[in-house]
Amino acid sequence: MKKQKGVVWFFIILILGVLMVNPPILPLVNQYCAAHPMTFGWPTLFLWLEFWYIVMIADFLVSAIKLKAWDCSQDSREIKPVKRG
Amino acid sequence: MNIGLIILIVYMLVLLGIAFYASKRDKKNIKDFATGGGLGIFVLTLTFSATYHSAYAFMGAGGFVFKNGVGWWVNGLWTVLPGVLFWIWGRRFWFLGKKYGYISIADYASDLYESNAMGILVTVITMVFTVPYVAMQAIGCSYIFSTISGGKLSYTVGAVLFFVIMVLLVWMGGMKGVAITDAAQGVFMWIGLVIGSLWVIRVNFPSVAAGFEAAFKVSPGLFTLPGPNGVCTMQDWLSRWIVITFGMMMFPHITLRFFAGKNLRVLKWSAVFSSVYLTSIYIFTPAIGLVGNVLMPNLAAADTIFPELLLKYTPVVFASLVIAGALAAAMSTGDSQLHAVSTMVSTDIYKKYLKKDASEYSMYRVAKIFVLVFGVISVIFALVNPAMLSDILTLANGGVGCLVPSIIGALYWKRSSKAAAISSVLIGEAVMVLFTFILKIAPLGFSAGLWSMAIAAAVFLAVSLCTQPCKHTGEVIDSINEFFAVEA
Repeated sequence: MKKQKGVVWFFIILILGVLMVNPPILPLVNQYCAAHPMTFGWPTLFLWLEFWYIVMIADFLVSAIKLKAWDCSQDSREIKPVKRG
Repeated sequence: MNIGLIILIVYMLVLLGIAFYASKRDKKNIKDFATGGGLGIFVLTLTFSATYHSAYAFMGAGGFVFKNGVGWWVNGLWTVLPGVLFWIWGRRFWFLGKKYGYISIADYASDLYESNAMGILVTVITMVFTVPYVAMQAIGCSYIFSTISGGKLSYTVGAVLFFVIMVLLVWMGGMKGVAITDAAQGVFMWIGLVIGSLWVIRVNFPSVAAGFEAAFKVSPGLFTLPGPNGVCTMQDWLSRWIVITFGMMMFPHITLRFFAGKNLRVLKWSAVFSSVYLTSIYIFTPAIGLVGNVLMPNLAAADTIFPELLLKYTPVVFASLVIAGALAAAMSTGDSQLHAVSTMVSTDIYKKYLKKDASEYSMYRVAKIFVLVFGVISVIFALVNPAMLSDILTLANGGVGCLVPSIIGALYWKRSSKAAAISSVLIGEAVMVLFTFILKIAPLGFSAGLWSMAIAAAVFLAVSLCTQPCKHTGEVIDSINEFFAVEA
């Protein structure tokens, strides 16, 4: 089954978000946080993590609105139940 | 009787009233008892979210930040990703539920792998590891009752009260009742956690940022990894989010909701809104845990930091209302878990092996009896083993996490074989038990749950490649792909 381009982008952004909040990126961010523990009065580490979580949620939201593969057109199709043995 | 206890009692009576309302619409058959007869976006979002967030949200989360610092926000991944998985995996399960009539993953596994043994394995494992999870909710409730009554209600009385309310909620309403009370509790716990946290901070500091500044002066180690106690290492970080995110999706109270959506549109938007809900509810939790070190530095039971701060710094009526939100978090998970495991016993054991010609009504009755049985076992567990909430969470998720390769593998991979599924689950669980209870080790710093999941995945892959794939699995995957294929 061929994947739609938009679905591929959804997964690329999601995986990027996951990578940004995990090793090996996270220890580098943690080093920065040790030198700059606060940003705008909030913990820098918390803000970094929160930023990427918001990116992932926005990615999910936009994909849910825009992707043809996720438009739920299948709701109009009948699903014939299969009798199990 | 103090005002806090009165508010909690009124709150529980309201919940029972909602469940009673739902019971009037109860059709007294197992299908409706299990899936609620098709839920809408609002109720499915909140029942999924409220069920997902347990006593841990109110008690364990703040307690973990209080002790170990901002490294706790690994939570963010296991609050964003469940919604995504609810849609990506959940829609495939939803379709299979409609086409093949599955109402549990044990039913699905046994049919896909054409193996009763696999079905029994999934049922037993999910039941065994759900018990400590329900017990965790009982522990949370006991802390709440004890805290709000100023110690007048003992830990034991709190656990028994939890048990009585849980059983009544599930008995009266089935899935629909559980889902509607979850929805009400979901709203209540979001308001309680967010507004309650903000209130405590603003009473003591001019702004949230000022609270953080004060906490930094007291304990700067809380603001970086691995925290002052060295707990939040990279291995701990990876172990927690992987095991909890994927493991949680295998619990029966979560998988039952894959099948409960009215249609795909409902499932999609419930998944999106769940991600938003689950993540936003924690916005001020780091602040609460951190300022706790300024306001109550000598608190002995870290898990009680949030209710203790509420009772000390906000009016008792408000504090009690917010603490009722904590009770909501625990109860919405506890009732869903009791409901889900009892449904599994009825559909996957009683109907399949004990009474093949069982009527819908007798299955419904058996499910109700097992609500009572599992409730009693869970409360006994809570009374004899009140460990820290976050540790129980990781243990329970690790236990069911071994199911991920075989359950999800059969959704996508046509080479999945029966031998691979059974061996991956058995070896994964053996590793989990060996590392956790016998050797008590965490090789290279990774948790037993992560090791067991990884080994289960490797075994599943290797054995599938060496053995005959299940014919039925291929047919089912083809039917899923055909249904979801995008027309050009």
